[in-house]
Amino acid sequence: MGIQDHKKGALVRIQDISKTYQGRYLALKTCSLQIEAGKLCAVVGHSGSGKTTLLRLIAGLERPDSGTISIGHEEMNSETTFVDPARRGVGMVFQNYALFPHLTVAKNVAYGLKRSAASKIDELLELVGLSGYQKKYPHELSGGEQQRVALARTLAPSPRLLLLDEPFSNLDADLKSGIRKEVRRIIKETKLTAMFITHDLVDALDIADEIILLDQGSLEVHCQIKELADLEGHQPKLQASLDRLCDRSRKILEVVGSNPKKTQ
Amino acid sequence: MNKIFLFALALLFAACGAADKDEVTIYTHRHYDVDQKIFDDFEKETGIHVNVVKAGADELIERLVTEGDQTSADLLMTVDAGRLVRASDAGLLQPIASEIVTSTIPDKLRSADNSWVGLTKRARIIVYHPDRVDPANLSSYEGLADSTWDDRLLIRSSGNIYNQSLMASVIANLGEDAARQWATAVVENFARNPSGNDRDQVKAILAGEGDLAVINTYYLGLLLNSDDPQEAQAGEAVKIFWPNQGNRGAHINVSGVGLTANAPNAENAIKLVEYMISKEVQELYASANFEYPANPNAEVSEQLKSWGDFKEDELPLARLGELNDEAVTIFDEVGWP
Amino acid sequence: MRDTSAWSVATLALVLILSIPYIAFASGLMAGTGHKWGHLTTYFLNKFFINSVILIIGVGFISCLLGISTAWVISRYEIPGRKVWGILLYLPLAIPTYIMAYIYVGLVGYGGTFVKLGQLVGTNASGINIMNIYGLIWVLSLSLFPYVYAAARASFSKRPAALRETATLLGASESKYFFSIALPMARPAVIGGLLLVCMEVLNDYGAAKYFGINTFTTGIFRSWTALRDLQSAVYLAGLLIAFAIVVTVLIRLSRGRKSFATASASGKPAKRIKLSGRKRLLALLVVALPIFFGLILPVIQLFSWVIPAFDGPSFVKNLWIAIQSLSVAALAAFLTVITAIVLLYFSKWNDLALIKRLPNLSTVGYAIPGAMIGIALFSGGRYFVDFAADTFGWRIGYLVYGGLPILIYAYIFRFLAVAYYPLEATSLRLGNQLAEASYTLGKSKLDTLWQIQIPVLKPAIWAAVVLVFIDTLKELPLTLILKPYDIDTLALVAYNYAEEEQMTKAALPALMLVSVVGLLSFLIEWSKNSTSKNKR
Repeated sequence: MGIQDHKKGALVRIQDISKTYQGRYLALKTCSLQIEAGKLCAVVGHSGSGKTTLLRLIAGLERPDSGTISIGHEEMNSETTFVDPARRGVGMVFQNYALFPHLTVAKNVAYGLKRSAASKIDELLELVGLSGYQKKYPHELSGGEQQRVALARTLAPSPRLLLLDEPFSNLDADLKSGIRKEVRRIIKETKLTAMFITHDLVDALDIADEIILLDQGSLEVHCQIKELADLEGHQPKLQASLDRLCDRSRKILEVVGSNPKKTQ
Repeated sequence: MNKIFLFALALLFAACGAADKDEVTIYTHRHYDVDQKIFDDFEKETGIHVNVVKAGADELIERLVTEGDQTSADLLMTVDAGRLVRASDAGLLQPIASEIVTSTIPDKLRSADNSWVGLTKRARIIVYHPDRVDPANLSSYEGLADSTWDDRLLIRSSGNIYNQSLMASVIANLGEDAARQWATAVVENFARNPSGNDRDQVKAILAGEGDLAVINTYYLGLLLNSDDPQEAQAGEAVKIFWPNQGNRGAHINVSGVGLTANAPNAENAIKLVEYMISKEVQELYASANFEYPANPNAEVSEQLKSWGDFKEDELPLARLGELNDEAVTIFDEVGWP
Repeated sequence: MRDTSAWSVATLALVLILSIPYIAFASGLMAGTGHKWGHLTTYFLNKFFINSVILIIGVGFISCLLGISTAWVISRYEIPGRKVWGILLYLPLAIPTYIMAYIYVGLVGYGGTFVKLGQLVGTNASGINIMNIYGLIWVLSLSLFPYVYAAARASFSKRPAALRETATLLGASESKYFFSIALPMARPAVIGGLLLVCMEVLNDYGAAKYFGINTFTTGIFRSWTALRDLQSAVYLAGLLIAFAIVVTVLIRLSRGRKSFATASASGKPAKRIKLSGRKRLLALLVVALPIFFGLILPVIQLFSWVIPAFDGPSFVKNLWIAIQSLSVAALAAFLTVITAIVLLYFSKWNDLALIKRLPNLSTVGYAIPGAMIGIALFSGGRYFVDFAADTFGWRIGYLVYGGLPILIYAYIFRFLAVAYYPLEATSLRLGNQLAEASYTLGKSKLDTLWQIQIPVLKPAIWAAVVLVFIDTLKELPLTLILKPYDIDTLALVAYNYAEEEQMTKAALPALMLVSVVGLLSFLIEWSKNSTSKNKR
């Protein structure tokens, strides 16, 4: 469906992946998708729709029950192989940032580097706009600053693929739009392929190149943002799903007093 | 963290690497300072180092059984003959081949095969409060069963080895049934549920909880020479009575030492035994620890002399070990806690 | 082969090594009862049972009373010297139960310290006999209540201010808040402390023996030593473990199914209330009395024994013993905590659900009487020694019998739970995300453990080290049986002298023991205060 057909140079290929937890709860059912190199892809859906599971499977933090995942030309897991998260070249920014509390900002950023070089760290901190924060500890930073440290730390080992789990959910609404743009700038500047989870459609529409909609563990839609309007065939289904999402987004936006019309 | 870990490892290896040297290892149930002094003196005199493992005799015997031919113990030292008999019966001991031992220590204080030898003697005696007890009413252990002493008698619990061997001697002399009757009557006379140690029994006399007690001479010596003036006073307040002087004599037990069957340093061990039964060391036991020397040539200390001479029960000590099981069984049957 | 199977194998191997005493113990149980079993059941079994039940109920009740009331005052009210009281309340734990028993007989017994003081003021009291089951309950409660105190205090001081404020808004009085909110929420923690108290009561040997009270543990020794029936002793130990399990289950069941965890966790801790007048006096009494009876009086009594008998050489000798004692305890504590960490993470990294649960099995050692572990290790070790001798002709006996390694192993076996559960709880609370972040940054599991998890767990690790350290310092029955010939410990020397009725000599090592544990408790408390300041 959608953009699947014209993808030759895909970086991530996921084929018929399924995952259940504790043998009962089905998180993902036979999902297949491909992400082209250089794209910024938003993963949207309700809580429990399998968004986080999808990212964790790609990062190698979970093992799928069946199906294959490839990154570049390497098979990450199948019946016989499983590549450790440490050797996948996939970077992940966690929802609560997971900064190492006992290390300074500089050491957090240097953590993933094979050879720690001060210039590289300075460069990364400059990229995320945190020059001069080297010696601070995570608990001395605001939420937005922590997130940027987490981003810099993830970028340090130069991953092939960047995954962000709800990167904007912990931020104040008035900061959000700015940070969103900032994140897009950084990703584009470093020419990365990235996927980020959000439950807020505004995030997706604002910065993503393409969008994946998951519902109850199934891939419902995968298309480019600009194609959204042209998706005649899937219109009713997408509309229904989007409506549910938009409802929530609207409510949130109403509370903080922004203009809800943007999503419609 | 790294350094601590390395230190720990070093300690572990240091403990494992047992270097060969001139030494002897003794498993002992005796926890007295005088023993350590004697071992130190022995090392000064002979250059042989004495390794000491202190624990309860039963634990030590169990350990010898398990260690088998890989034991590092050369000697087993206990505070009663019963445990030595048990070790000997289990094949854990071997004869001490020493002229000096056989010629110095009387036959009844040794096992028939010389696998163990008594070092010091302790007597189980009666002490009483002179204002409340007329010594004319005291005669023997058997006499303690008399209803005169109803609610007046103090003695510690039956878990104590000295009580067990006393009971064994009663069984040996009166037979099992009479011993059981005796024990039943004695329990009737208890002033309180048996608790505490021998010193506590003497203090309870002073406090008026009971009027007479059965205790060990050795503990009376400790009490009289206590650093605590109140304790010494308790010791002074009671009088000593030697039981059964008209017939078999007072019950005695020995603290003794046996040579282990698989002793790696048997020669050194025999040297140590010979040293411990020498006149000088025997007198040290008497003066520092209030024990009667097993070597008849050794002089008893002033403290021991002040208690007077007494007649000993001549029962072979090995008998006590043999009857220990029955003694404990009777204690339990008559409800002597 | 999947890489995690290596962790499965490693976990399994470690658990197997830690199961040697169980295997020996189980094979002992298989062999059936011994020849004196009939005798034991006729004359003792009901006594063991009744006495143990009375002791558990009595000591459990008093420990809860003392532990909860003191914890409440310390965490809820601002009283003069609060911090110092708070630390002093841990210290009775430093006095081993059997020493506490001798101390109380020396205090209130015939010719004891109280009698002497009484004589000074002209009374003629002769002292009281406390060598009975009530005396034992008193003595055990005094040296064990800090387990409940520590647990309750941790729980009370975590309650957020919002909770208290809500309760006030709803019109709850102080007592209502205590009984209907704070206490029920502290219940899981208190139960944890209470379980430790129960295990210690069941394991006590020295005090019960001195007071002439028959319990399961004195029965095990009687069966083994006096009755010469090791087989029945093993069986009794089996019964004791079953009894311990029943007690555990009963206490756990009483917790019910309510969840108390959800509401706790975060939020600013409630501000302490300032007290004045009679209320302040009352609060002070609540904390001062247990300290007076559980620490100050005992320490005075120890000094009254030490001072008249004090001399230089014996002090130096005891100092040397103290150094050995501390080194052994430190070694045991570090290795126990390392074992706990390895077990915790290896089992986590493996994929098999069954192996994930195995560590729980390795931590039951706390409920097994120390003496039985010693015996089981000897008989278990025998197989190794015989095997090595028969197969390779190696003489490794000196390693197994009376060597330091086996003693350390026994300590690890006995105290693994003490280190494992707090570490597990903390690591669960911290979650997995830091580790996952580290994996996605290209680090292996071992690198992550070393660079992230251990540093983050550091406060909990140190706390575990100190707890095991203190337990090892005090440990008696195991040390008695497995002690290497060239090492002495303070607890051992104190016990040996006490058993030989030489309290004046037992007092010095006991006093050293109390000082070391006291100093450590102080350090823990102090470091807690300073780290919490750092975080703000």
